[in-house]
Amino acid sequence: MRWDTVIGLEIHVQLLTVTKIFSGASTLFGAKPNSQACAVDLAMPGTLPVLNSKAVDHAIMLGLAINAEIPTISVFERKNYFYPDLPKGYQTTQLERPVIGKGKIPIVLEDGTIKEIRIHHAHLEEDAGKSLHSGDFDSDLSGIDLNRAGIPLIEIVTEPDLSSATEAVIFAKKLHSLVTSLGICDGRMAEGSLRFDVNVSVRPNGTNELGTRTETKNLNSFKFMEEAILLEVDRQIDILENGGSVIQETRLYNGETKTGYSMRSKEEANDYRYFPCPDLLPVAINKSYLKKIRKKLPELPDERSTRLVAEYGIGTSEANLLAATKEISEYFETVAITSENSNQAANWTLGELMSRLNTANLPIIESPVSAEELGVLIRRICDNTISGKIAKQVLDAIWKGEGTTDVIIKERGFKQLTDTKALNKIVTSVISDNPKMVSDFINADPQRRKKKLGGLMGQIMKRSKGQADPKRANDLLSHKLHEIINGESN
Amino acid sequence: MKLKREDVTQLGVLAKLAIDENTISDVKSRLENVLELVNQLQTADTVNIEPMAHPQQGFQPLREDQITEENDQKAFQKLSKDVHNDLYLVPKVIE
Repeated sequence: MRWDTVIGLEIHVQLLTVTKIFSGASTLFGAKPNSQACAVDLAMPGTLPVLNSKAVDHAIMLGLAINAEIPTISVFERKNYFYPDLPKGYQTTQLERPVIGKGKIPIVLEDGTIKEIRIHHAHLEEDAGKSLHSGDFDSDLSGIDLNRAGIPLIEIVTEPDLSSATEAVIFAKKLHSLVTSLGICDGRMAEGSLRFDVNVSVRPNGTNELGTRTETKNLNSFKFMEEAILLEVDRQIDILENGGSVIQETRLYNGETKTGYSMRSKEEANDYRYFPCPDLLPVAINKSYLKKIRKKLPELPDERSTRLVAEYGIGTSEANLLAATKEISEYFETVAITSENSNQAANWTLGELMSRLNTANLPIIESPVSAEELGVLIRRICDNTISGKIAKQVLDAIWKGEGTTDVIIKERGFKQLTDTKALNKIVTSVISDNPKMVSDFINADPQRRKKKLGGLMGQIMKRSKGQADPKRANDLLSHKLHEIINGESN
Repeated sequence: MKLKREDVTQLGVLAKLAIDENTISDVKSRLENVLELVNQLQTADTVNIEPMAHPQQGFQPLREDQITEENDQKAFQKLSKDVHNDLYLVPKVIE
């Protein structure tokens, strides 16, 4: 039997603010436990929350960016549950009247088609603290760090419009790029700045009725998200094909052991007893507020991609990759301007540079090779000073801090060999030292000769230590070989 | 509205309250009275009435995103029964 997968996501986005959503305590990551938990965060008697304007601004920015409905009034509610890292005994969040209503985010699927993912709503809320279940304290105790309590979050809830793990990951990456471009989130997933809950169900191929879903919570990397979905889809199909039924439950995924397990079933689920928070008045969002925020909206990835294609004449797929973050596109633009060759700038940024950054696990802003320097390097390829192959060696040297492009080329004698006399000498010696390759070329079908040239070119590059101007060497080589052919046939 | 004994036990689980076997029938009849009152409330026609978000008129004032709190960790942790390496210690709860 064939099955369809149905996925909806809930995404917690930690908003980039200096202080908490309801108190003036710092949100800085990595501080000493409980050094950033003030009386409001600790729910001391008599304290009252006051809403952070920046958190509201950020929420509105997101709403505008995804063309969502933004109601004029939004209301905070209390979600009641008991847990030691939730000092108030309730989370201040939104339910009936969230700050952001329906919207949509288009994604580009692998085959290039565009799919619109509907956003059900997005709401503002506070984060809870952190429980540590092991440490240098008794094993029957938990340690509580409340620094995270009260950090502003926006929770984005999608409709169940995603139909595979791949689509879910494409969407997640798009959202990551959107919130970081807006500057409302630092996007550091390992620090929990962006956390995904995935709702997964399956149904027989082609049917409409939704199956029972499970929710896997707190996935903090794209990789884990993909793995968790694939595993859960597999598990549900297994159950259904063996005549069982899926239980609606909350699950967790362990990325290290690659296993999923149940956290709680619906029967044990909390009844959150939501009600409007009497400590907070409704939040008003009028037209002038919207106008003010709209003015602050930066260029968004989709707009940026369109502009990169128009301004630099690069391909759409390259532009989409470069436009994913502001930092990458700014880097590319500097390379393109310095090198005066946009296509090479795109190729080198996305290829050689990105692969080195990924290996070193560095963000582009910490690249050891500046955009200007990469621009100069590309210019030296374009003006035939060095070949592309040598350029990679020069890039490695710049990466290691061994100097600038021109200094490295000069000091190591990397300058490309363009002198015809010197090139001729190498070509002639390669021809006389490789009679087998030469006869293979001569005896080959004329249409296939081009392919046979490769081996001899390899020898030329080797003998010139990669410095022969490939185009000129190639010309000289074919010229000489044809001379031999013509000489033989005469 | 009539409740079953299991309903009361389940409510106890959700409310994190230990309900003694002997008191279940008493709790049950009192909860039924409460539900009776809720039934009465539900007969009121609220179709065209906007739900009240807050009894006071007015809107939420917003504050600037500026740090105004100092670190009073020492004072707060003095109030706690058990603190170790800056962490508040509580009986282990894992969910």
